[in-house]
Amino acid sequence: MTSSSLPIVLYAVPFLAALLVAVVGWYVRGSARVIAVSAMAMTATLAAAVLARVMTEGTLYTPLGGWPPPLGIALVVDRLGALMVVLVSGVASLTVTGSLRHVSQELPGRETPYYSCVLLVTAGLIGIAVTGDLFNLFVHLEVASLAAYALVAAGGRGAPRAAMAYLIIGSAGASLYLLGVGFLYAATGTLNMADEARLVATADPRLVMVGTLLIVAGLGVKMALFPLHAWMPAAYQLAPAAAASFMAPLVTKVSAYALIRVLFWVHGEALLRTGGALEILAWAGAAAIVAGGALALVEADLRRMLAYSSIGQVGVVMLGVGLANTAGMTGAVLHIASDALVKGVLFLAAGIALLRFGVSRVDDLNRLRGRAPWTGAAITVAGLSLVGVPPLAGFFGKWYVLSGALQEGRWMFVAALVLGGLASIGYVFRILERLYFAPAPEHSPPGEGSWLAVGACLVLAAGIVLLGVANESVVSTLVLPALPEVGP
Amino acid sequence: MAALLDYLVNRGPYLLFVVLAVLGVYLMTSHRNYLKAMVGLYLFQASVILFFVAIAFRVDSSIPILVPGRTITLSNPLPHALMLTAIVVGVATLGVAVAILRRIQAETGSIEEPRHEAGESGR
Repeated sequence: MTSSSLPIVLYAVPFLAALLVAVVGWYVRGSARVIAVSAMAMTATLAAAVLARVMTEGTLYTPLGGWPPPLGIALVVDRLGALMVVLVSGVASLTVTGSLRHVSQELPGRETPYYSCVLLVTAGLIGIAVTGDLFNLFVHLEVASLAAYALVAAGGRGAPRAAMAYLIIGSAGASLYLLGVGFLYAATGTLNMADEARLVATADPRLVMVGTLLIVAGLGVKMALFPLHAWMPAAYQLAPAAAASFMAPLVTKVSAYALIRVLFWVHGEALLRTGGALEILAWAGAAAIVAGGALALVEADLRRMLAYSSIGQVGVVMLGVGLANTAGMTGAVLHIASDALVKGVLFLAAGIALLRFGVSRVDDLNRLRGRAPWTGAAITVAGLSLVGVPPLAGFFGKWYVLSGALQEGRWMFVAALVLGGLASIGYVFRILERLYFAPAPEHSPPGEGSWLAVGACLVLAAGIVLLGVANESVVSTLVLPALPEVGP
Repeated sequence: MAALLDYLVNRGPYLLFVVLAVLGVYLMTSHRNYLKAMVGLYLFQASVILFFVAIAFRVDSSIPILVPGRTITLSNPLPHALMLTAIVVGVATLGVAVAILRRIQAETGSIEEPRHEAGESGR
């Protein structure tokens, strides 16, 4: 372990930039986007630096305020955390840069609060990824969520209602998480994750079990785990396209990562096996795969379809976590990364479709035919990754989870994964069919959307290919060494 | 009677926590009016705060202020500090909620949940 102040700088950049945007953007017209994009770029650079240092020096460790843990709050970045901050800051920078034009088109005159909220969400998500303290995680969760509610509410007709439902359900989830932390604190008397992991084995198992189940439920709400997903489709359908393309890839995925961290770093596998939390997660994940796929298959609205697809992909992640063997966990982590990239591309492309071509329904996607070849190419790559075509990233995540299920001999879970795969073939090919084979209408605006958006789509799509091709080295250098001690 | 009193003194905060939590969840789920649901959420948050404060208490303990030359049993100050943060988070949530409620009212003239779902599936 190396002591370093890099993680706190990484968190402070987007957080302070959010305040700076709010103040300077108020006085200087047009400064908000400049500050936001440069802060995002800086965060991404710092995240890369964090990853480089973690690779060379091992886990980074920051005791805050000079208080040594377990008394003080500590930031801890291991290899998995470093992968997460790179993913969050990378996808956030690309989607924010890509949707610059969308924001000025959708939210004219409201850019300052928009970028302030975007930076707050980013700071919250990075905080979740780097913190080593259970209560601190709650605070970051709420920083990210409160800004996310505001972003959803900024959308058009119906969006405030969707935001209100999101707020009530999301805050109830956060309270459940907090209550769970309370039970763990009552059992062990500490909030520091490393300290808790040491003490939890000797604590009252009943308190620990109730606490664990409450935390699973609370974070399950935040990651829209079936059947706690009710807030999500409307929120991502009705939010401004720019906000959806920024939030949809990240918010639910980071909550899933937080659950992995709390479950396996704090509780350890042996304790979880007895508590039933893993079994619940695996079944909820399997149900989410089937239900998310089926709902996406019949959905007519493009962004709502993508939201249902996200529910299914979170299901894959949680099924991997619930299996709790090395293959399942590897698949879960890999699938978090791949779905963040995939949903980044698809929600950005949905933004282009809406704002350039006026398309919000899947059936109208033929207006893009022959007019937006690059956008179409990015959608195709992301779609095929969602289906699970090798060598794209989505294939490997699902593959690892599938082999995890096979190892355990859980045929119901294998069946769920296969059904989910079939459903994803169905809904992805509904998109591709409209995009490439349906007759294009006569009158339609010619040409691609803003080159920033198309460029960001293409870079993210390249990331999908790269993560897929390089998955072996990502798994062996970043995922496996950071995985907690689990079964075979 | 004395036993009952004893029980209430020892378990009272936890009983109150359960009552508040159940009441909060009931309000949240049973009302179509967003403001009433919000009150339910607030009760639920208050119950969690009460729970934390209750676990901080120790028998025969005093407020955690050190007085030189006097040894006292302290109640655990950490949950109180945590709950100050949680209260701040709750107030921030309420602020965002009220702002969103005003937008809902400006848009639709009511703050009730519609009978059908909020999103439009376009079918």
